[in-house]
Parts: sequence; C-alpha cells; structure tokens
Amino acid sequence: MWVYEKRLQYPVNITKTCPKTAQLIISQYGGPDGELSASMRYLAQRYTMPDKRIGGLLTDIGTEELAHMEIICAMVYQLTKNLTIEEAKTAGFDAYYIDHTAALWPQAAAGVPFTAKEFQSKGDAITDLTENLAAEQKARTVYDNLLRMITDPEIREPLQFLRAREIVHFQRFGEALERTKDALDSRNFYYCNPEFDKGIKLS
Amino acid sequence: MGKRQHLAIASVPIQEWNGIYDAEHALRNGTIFGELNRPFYVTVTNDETLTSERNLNPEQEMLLQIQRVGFVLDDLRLYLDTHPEDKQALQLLKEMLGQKRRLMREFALRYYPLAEECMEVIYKENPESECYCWAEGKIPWEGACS
Repeated sequence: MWVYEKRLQYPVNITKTCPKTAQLIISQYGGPDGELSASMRYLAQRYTMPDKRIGGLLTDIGTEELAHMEIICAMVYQLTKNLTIEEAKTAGFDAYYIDHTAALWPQAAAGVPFTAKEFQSKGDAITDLTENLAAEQKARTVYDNLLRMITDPEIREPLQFLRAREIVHFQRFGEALERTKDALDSRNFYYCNPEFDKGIKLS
Repeated sequence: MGKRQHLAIASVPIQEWNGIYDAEHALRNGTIFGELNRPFYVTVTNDETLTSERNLNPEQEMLLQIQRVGFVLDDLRLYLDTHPEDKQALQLLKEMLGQKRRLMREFALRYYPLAEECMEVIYKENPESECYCWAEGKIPWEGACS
C-alpha cells in the first residue's frame, strides 16, 4: 500500500500565471517520457522481476516518480490557477481549456493523450532494465529541452531538480542490470529469459 | 575488457561510497552524491540561493528542512537498494531516520501533521482535542501563492 506525506519532495512556488509554459511542462505529466508513464512502468515491471532486491528498487523509484508527478502537476496548476480567458487565447491554451477548463489532465505537449502504450513492461529482466536506462535518458532530454526554453528561475529550479533525478535513476538501473548479469552465465546472457524460464540451469 | 564488460549487453560501473553532500546542497542539486551531479550547461550555478530558499517564515523554513532531510533519505534508500551491504550508508540511514522523525514530530506540534504518525503525536499531547488535524495546514500544491 501507499501512505501520503503532505508535502512536495521539492518546493514549487510559482507566482506568475503562464499557460504557455504549463502547456509545455504538462508533457512530463502525461507525455511519452513523463513521470506518470515512468511510475506506472516501474510499478508494473516489479512483480515478475526475478531478483527481489530489484523489485524493491523498482518500487522505490516508482514511488519517487509518483512524487515527481505531483511536482509537475503542482507546477501546471500554479501556472494556470488564475487564468483568464484572454490569457488562454493568446497563449494557445484555449483548446485545452475547452475540454478541461484549468483542471489537470495527462497529455503530451502537443495534445496527445496519455496512453499505456507509452510504457513498456516486457517480462524479461534484461529487456526491462535496458528499457528503463533509455527511459531515464529520454526524460532527461525532455527536461534539457524545457530548460533551454524556460527562463523563469521559479520554474527552472524544480525542473533542474527533476532532471538530476533522471541521472541518479539511470545509475541505479545500471547497477540493477549488473546484479542481474551476475546471476547469469556471462558466456551467454541470452540463453534463457531469467524472468520466465525459472527451471533452466544457467551454467 | 574489465571483469564486468561483455559484448552485446550494456554495462554501468557500480558506484562506490565517497561520502555525500550536506542536506541543503543535496536538495539544491537533486542528488546527495557529488559524483552523480551532472548539471546541464544552460542552467545557472547551484551556489547562489534558490527562489525557494528566500524570504521564508519559520513554518516554511522548517518545512524546507524536512524536505532536505527527507530527500537525503530518498536518495540514500535507492543507493542502499543496490548496495545493501554498504555499512557507511546504512549508518547514515539510521541517523537520518531519527533526524526526520524528530523534525516531523516538532512540525506537527508547532503547525500541522505531515503524516499519519504525526497525528498520533498531536493527540498524545492533547487527548481531548476535537480537531481533525489531518485537514489542517497548507495544501502541498498551493505553494507560495496560497
């Protein structure tokens, strides 16, 4: 189960309404490399992970990604909470406004809705951990792109924090992959699927 | 090729314990580990105070302290998930757990509870209380504009 701590992992205090920026940042909520996708990916992969310690790591990173989703949502909320119709129109936020007013709804920057197709759970420890290494890099690139475009320090600081987390998570998934390899025969890591072929003798 | 390197599969070196940032620098940089701190070139240096650290009242100051200590624990937990045998990290975990518990308790008594166990602290102090304290205090996503 999960319990809630009534605070953000990193403070978000945005004092200026800016629907244009909200529309960009929302991609890290419901976009293909967003925090919702990351959280659901790790929390889905953990059940069948053969090494229970890696199941534990997936739980902890998946939980942290939920806290990151909360940070991104807080940013989108604060950027749109005093929105006027005129601001929505001039910022190009009007199409979103028609369907969701100023509520949070997971979509990518270009308006594509969140979909489970965006996260992978393949049932092979090597495949899934390699996927996660790539996923952390993709999320980092999105934060890089946001940081190039956004200048307000109130918005940049949480984004910088979230970007740094992608690099740490990459390292941890790399270490998890090394542990998975240690349990396999290095002459052929692909002799079987360690997550499915449980009875196969490895060496 | 090193012991861990093999053809046709990814390799990442296992991190070794080299100590950590203090809690303030850790939250600023998004990691407790200097060797994992790789900032993007367009971002400012992390040495100046951040907007979230300026003009804080005592309540906000204490909440920030909880965020800092909580974050050290978040990053430490992931390190221990892949290094369960690291004694120095484990020792630090024990210290930080105590620090966080004390801060959370103090914050609950002065302001409002951030978690279920903090509600107990409040009702223990005042068993006759008729206040549903979980509904007290700031909503996390409201930030400074509340």
